[in-house]
Amino acid sequence: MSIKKYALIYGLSIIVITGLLASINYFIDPYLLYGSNRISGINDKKPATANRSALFKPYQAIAVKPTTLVVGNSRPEMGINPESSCWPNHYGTIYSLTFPGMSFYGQIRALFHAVSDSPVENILLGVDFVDFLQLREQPKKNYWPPRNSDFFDRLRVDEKSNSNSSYRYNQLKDFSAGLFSLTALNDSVSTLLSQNVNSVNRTHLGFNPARDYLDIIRHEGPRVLYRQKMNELNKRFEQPGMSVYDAKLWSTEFEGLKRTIQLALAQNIQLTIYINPYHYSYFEAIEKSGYWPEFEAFKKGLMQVVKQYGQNKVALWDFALYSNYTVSPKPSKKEAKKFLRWFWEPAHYKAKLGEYLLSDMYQQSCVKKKLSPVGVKLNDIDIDRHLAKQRQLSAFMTLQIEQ
Amino acid sequence: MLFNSYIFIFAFLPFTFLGYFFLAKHKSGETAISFLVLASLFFYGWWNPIYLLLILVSMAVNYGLGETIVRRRNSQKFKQAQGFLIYGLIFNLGLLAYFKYANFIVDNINSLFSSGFNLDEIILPLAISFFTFQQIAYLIDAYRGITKEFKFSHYALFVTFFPQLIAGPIVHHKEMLPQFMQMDNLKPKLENMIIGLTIFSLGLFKKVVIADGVAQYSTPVFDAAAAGEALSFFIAWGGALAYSFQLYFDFSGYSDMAIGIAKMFGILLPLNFASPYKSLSIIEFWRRWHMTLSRFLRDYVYISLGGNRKGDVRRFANLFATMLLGGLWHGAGWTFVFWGGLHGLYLVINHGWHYLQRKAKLEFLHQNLLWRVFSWFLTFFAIVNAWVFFRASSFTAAVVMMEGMYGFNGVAIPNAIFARLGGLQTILNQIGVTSFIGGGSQFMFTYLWVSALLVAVLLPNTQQIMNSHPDAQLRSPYALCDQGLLSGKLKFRYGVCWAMVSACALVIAVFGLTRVSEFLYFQF
Repeated sequence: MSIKKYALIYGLSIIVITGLLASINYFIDPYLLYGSNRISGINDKKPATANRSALFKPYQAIAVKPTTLVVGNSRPEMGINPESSCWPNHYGTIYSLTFPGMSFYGQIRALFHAVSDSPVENILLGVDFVDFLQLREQPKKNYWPPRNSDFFDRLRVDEKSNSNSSYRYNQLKDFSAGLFSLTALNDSVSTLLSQNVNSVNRTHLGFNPARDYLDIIRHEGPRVLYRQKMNELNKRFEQPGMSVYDAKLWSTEFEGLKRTIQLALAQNIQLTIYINPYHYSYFEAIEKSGYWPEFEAFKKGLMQVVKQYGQNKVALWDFALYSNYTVSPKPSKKEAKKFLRWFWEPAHYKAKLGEYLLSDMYQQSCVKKKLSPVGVKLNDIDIDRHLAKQRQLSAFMTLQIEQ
Repeated sequence: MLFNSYIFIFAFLPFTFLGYFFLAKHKSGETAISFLVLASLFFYGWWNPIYLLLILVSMAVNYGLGETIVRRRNSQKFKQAQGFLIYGLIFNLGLLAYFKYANFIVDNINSLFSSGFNLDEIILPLAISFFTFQQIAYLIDAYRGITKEFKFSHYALFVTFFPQLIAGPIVHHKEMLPQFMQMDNLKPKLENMIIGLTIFSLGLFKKVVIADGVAQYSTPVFDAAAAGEALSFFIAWGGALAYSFQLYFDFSGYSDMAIGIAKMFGILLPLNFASPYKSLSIIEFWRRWHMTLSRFLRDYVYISLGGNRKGDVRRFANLFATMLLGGLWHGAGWTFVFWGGLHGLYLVINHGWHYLQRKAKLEFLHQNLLWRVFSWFLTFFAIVNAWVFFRASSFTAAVVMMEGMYGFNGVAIPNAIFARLGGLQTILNQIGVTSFIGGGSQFMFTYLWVSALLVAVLLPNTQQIMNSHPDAQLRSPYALCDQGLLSGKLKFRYGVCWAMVSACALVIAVFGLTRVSEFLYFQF
């Protein structure tokens, strides 16, 4: 072959191969960026979305145009199903704007982003003790500072709710990376190869069905997940000196909560806040580490902010309490099933328990007969008595275990 | 500026290429060469413009000294020539000592004498080790009467020529300066472009896809060792093996890219790697690994120390000292010195073994396949062990790695794999293999990568693939004759298949320049 012909074929090959690879990435859409059709057995499951909520959810939340948002971390992502029958009928399209491992600040910034461009009427905000429990330095001058990262660049509004001028550029960058990158190609191939029923996945509404946990449980037993999470939790709570607020009795997290309430009131959005449920072994870890007073301060702090800024229009629910749902045997060879009824592991509840939460909060009769109330609406009760009762139950459980 | 960046591939390289040949055609060869020098300085200054001053001063001083040495030598004033050579060596080594080793020296003085000398953090100028060595060689050769007189622009291009400036190969003035003066090289040639682009693509693929791909399996292990975590046997070996391949493909890929880019400009750079992990001995390894550095160390350190001219004991001492210096050249830290010393020791043992082999008439062993496999295994094992010291952030971290690799923390595999082993579980438990939670896929991919790359290194290298074509003759500092697996099929030629393979390597490698960020439970 002559060198000129070779050069021609070479040049054409570069164009054709580039086009072909980008088309594959577009068709498979491993990060749920382009809204490509999901075909069973080919690209229906999206394993590559597992660690990329921060990439695709800001865009998906805009594309879906939800009227209801579920906001929070991985707990509501796995526990509250937007497609559950327990949602009130008029709630329309529900999107799970939830981010595993993300700070509360990040969760709230994402919420402001989604609300900036969607006709949102309802927000269900799941709050988490560990998101509020941080190492605090001197009281801050600014509790809602700007932050820089790829994630914040993808949001339509900045920390002051001003329009982000580089939003379109960043979107273009993310969308091109989804087409013209080796990571995307690699993830397209692994998507094609991971289409079994229990593959890691996120739905088009941002929900994590967590079916991959079933595989782990089947092969390794529920104790593995339980031990892994407990190790993480104990490690987290081992860190001394953390608190839910600083010397001024305020924090970025409470500031975020206040801003969310103000946003909801200003835009006439129905806001419901709830504290995620934990398995009682999680409470044990809090108790052992000496952070129980902070746990109570967290609940009281939430209550105060809701009372002060909520104008009696914001509901606050506590599901992080001892109940027939959260107290079940720790997984053992004999009693794995009882544990697995409501929880995947101590920190993550199942969507089945999530339905009970929804049923409580929205007074829906969508679940079978309840064992007892799942949660308590804090707006209506004496918080000190409520906390004292939980303290007693905690002491009782500790005694039981010691015996 | 890095070769593996968009700005280089889509802006700097095309602009420089077109500008160079345009000026050569419409102005003059000298203008084109000056343009290339300026482009190379821009390439260098992209990182930190302030260090342009350093390279410019270094070049001017060395050029002046070189010219002076040549003139003094030509007029038989050898003492004066020697004096200027010594000034040159002091100047070059002084710069290197200040920028690369000052903090290291001060830290060691403080540790030894409990003193409190304080030196602000000195930022290491990019490529200082490379351009210093090249210029030292130039001065020594000027003194030896090998160097001729050259124009400053040619000399400046020899030092700054951007393909080799950042990470080698360490070029020799004898092989570079004559090429700049060939008028034929000032005309663009399609075959140079095609061959150059093909070699560049292979190099970019090695760097971006393979080296960066396998890095994610070595970095966390070495980080864990640095944090003092106890590593179990397979985890530690996985990290050490992954790093061994990462380093090779990174360095070799970068060298290939340099060779490919230079080829586009009609310039042949010497090869730097020739399948070093195929070596059957450490002596052979150093003929295949970073060949231009080995050549420099041999010609300008080992031979200057006396080489093998003063008996075996002195020869081994020279070898050991050369390798210690070679270690120190790679970085200002005791782990690098130890790495160099370890290789020095390996080389001494290897030479000692050769001596014994000759005495005991055991040379026939080389023909035995089993012996060759054993030799390969032993060599590779020794190399991987030494890399641990090269990579570890401190001696303590290296020891933590070693403890893991030698089973001090037991042998364990991830529970996700262990749980699927069925009946094997009992046997493994009996021999003390345990399981741990998490890290299943990381573990599996580490060993998949390592296994795949182990096969890959047995394939023909770039030189062997390209040398089969008359347009693509490459230059190797050492003659090597082995071919590797599939050597009959992997020969470059102008054909549809090669056009597509080469285009595919380029496209995938360019795709590799962008990464879709992950969010792995960081609080931000």
